[in-house]
Amino acid sequence: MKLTAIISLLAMIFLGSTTTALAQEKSCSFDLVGTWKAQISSTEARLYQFDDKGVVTVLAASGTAQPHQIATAKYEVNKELGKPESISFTATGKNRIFGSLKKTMKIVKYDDSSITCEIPGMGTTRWTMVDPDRYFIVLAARTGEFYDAAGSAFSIVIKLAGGVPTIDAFGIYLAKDGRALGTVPPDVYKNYLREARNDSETIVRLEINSRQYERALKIIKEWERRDREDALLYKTAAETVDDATYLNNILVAKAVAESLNKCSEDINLYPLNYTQRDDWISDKYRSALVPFYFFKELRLRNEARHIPDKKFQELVHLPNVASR
Amino acid sequence: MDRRSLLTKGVFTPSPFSQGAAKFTNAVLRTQDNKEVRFYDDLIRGKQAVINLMYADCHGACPLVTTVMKQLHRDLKGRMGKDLFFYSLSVKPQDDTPEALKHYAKMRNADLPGWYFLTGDPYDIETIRFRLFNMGHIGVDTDFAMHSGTFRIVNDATNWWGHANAFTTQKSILKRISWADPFKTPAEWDAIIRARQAKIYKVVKKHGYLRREDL
Repeated sequence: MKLTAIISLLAMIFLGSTTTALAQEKSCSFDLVGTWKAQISSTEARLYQFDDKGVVTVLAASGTAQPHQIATAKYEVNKELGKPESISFTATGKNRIFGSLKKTMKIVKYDDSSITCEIPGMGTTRWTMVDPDRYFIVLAARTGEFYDAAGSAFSIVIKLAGGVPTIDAFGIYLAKDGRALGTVPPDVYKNYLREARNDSETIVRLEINSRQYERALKIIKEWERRDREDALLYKTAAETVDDATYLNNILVAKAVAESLNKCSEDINLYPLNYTQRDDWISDKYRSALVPFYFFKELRLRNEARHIPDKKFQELVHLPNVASR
Repeated sequence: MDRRSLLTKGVFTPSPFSQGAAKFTNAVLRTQDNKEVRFYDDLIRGKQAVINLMYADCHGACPLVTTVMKQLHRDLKGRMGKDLFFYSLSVKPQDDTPEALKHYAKMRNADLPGWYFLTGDPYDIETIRFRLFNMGHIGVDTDFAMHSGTFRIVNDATNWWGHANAFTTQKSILKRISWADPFKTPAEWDAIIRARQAKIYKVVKKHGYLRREDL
């Protein structure tokens, strides 16, 4: 009996340590391809255009004048144990890069939209990603739509390229024949691209960066595939079939929201982790209502970043919605 | 490639109540020997299996569970690879190549008959993990480390789904595995009872009484 108790205790310690180690992981992907801007003074900046063939073009931008090319170079990202450590530049032709033919700059830190580098002899510089497109996430939920007092709850991601929005949405919504979990049709999500009507509805609208958009979109696409292939994670749940649908939707809502903070603490995220110490929502409400209160809490925590209805309507013109 | 030639074909007739590939999925996985297998058709259909979750670089519970499985393998040697199989499913398939799993198995002397270390597409592994190990609780189910001390025991012929704590006694785990054994005919039960009775007579004859450990 005593031995069993000791073995169980040891097992719990082992499991606990593994769990903690995994929960603390935060990782940013390092992708240099694209345009990065370094502000030199209040009126002058340098633009670094990295292509996927290992060539960087440097442009000088001053005031309102059109940026002009000042150098080209070959570049290589040097990695150590899979982690980017430095970027090596070799100027091509008669060019100079950072004042010389060859230069290696150390990567000090990076996140979704910026890189801080140290250039020997020149000090530290911070590059910010330049993206002509804009990205948004909308988390929308209602109560009182279904027989059990629950309602629609889904995530919408929007890419605004050249004024044309591309919209993807996944979650639970009210279909013609009742509740459905899957890709939300445009005529349904269009009703949520405006301010919440009353307390039975909650809408969070945030502007995000391209990496956050890509991560959230990847989750939505994966769940669309799961829906298509009958590979939803909860099938016939431990409890009832109804709960399986709600549990799947919680997984999507949680994954999409958490993906925003995968690289850095960008939004004020509510910890939907089902531990009583941190998570009062899952403790207080049944599965069907968890996404609604989760989104409501996210709205409260990120009120300052919430995009007001009028501004959002100006940005995203619904007649221009692009179809996939 | 004929996948069926790689593994023993199921020896039992699948239960008519088995949900088959719809429940287990028929995802394509790879063994530690880099052989392609389908999860239901090649690994579950008509077989009894003990399944656990692990990953090669795990320094917590996984090596301990592997040791427990080695002891179970020793006790069940006569059945291993015939009607009973062990499947250790990697929950870090993006890191665990078949070579990494082979290395893990060899390092721990666990590259044994009827025991397959499996990796595959993370999408499929996640589906299988939820289908086999979900507890209907988001907090537990989203943390794959929470299941590393659990064995899922299934028998497709009896449609039996059970589980065992990997850190309980060997005897208890063996008993739980036996609960999933295929149904026996009255004649088979008769033979088992007779054999047990004969053993009891032998012990009583030798010691004059029956000890608890002889049962």
